Amino acid sequence: MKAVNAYPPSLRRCLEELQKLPGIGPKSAQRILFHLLERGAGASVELAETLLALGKRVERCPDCRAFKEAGAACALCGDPSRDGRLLCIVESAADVLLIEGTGEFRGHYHVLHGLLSPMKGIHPEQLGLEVLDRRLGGGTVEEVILATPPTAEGEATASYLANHLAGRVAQISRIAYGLPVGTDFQYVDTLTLSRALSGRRRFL
Amino acid sequence: MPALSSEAFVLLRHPLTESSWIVTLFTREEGVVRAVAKGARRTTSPFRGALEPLSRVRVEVVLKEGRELGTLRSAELLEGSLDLHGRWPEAAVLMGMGETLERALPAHAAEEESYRLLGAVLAGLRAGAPPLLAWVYFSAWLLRLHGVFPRPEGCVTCGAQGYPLLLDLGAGEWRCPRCQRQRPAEGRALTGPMASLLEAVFRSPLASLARREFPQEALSALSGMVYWALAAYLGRPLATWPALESLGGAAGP
Repeated sequence: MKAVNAYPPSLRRCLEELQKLPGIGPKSAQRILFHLLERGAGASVELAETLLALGKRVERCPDCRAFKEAGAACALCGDPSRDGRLLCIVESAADVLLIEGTGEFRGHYHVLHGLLSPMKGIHPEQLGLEVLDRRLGGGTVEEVILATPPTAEGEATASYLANHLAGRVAQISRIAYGLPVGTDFQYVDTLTLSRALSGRRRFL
Repeated sequence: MPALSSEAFVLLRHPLTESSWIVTLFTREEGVVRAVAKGARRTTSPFRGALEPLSRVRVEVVLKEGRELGTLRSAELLEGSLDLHGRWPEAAVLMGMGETLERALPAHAAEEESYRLLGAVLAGLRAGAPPLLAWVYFSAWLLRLHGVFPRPEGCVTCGAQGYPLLLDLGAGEWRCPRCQRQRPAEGRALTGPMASLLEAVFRSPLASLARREFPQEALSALSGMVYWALAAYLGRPLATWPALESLGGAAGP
């Protein structure tokens, strides 16, 4: 009999739920579980209430499809200091945080919540194109930046979006491919290197 | 421990853990082989960039007796596929071919002709073949190589040379409606223009067809027919069909 079967049912259920999270295996789930138990009931209740609030108080912004507090204005779309002429299309809400972390981009976003993958059942209808169309219909967006990852699905999605948006916005850009900063050439794969060369920019 | 060293196409990949993929490889030497690519999802992985679907790679896979999953030891990129994935209608064809081959090919059985077919279709797409024609070319040839979609040479029963002809999928034979004892259902009968197109598909490399004009109606109808036969052969519709349908083919099953 596995040791976990000796646990009370509520512990077993908690372990099962924790293991559904990405990157959490049986051992990590046990570590988290015992950490919570040792911190006392207050810690578990606080965490449970926070998680409960996620489902109740967080919703997708109807304009950018990133997450926002229910009933409140979206921190990104409602920020008047942002440049309404730029729209960056990303795969996930986590990508918004990554791009915000660079401090380089002050435009708006559109979150796809997935990449085109018919095998996984992700078709164009799931990418929120009607929201994107409505936004472009406003006429303020001048450049759309396709910031999907440089993978087969990311490239296919970018190409599909470029076809969809063609003629409806002045400029459609693709995020650049290149070498990671601080990398030795010896450790760069040939595909990245060839893309970095074909995507070179004028230096002087 | 035996290691398979072969040229291969990456057909599909699925996440196994946060850092690893399970890749389905169509190897030249041993057909379809599935392997774990440990750490391949990390940005520092030596596999990085080589495991995109439909890339042509040289791989070394460690296979253990009695285990279906091997371990990918190395993967050297020979020809990437991101150029084709970066062109939408072509990307839909690549996705359809990956799914079809993953389902149609048995594991650990080399299929040199199917391997060369895949390479030829990718070359044809790069040479500018229309995506719908490329999809028809791939499906018709794959079915023919698997013995279910023969070259139409008249009714096998009475020898009549006219059209339409109906495909007896079970026998892999063409028959006239009278011998098949069946009225030609819409989209399931091979008409004269469809037969001319199919003849061109079976006679010429896709890259050379890229420069020729074909009647769109015949191409669309042949695409629907070939897809119907493919779905019947595979036992169920393709998940990628909605994307392929957008290429302009006739309605699927």
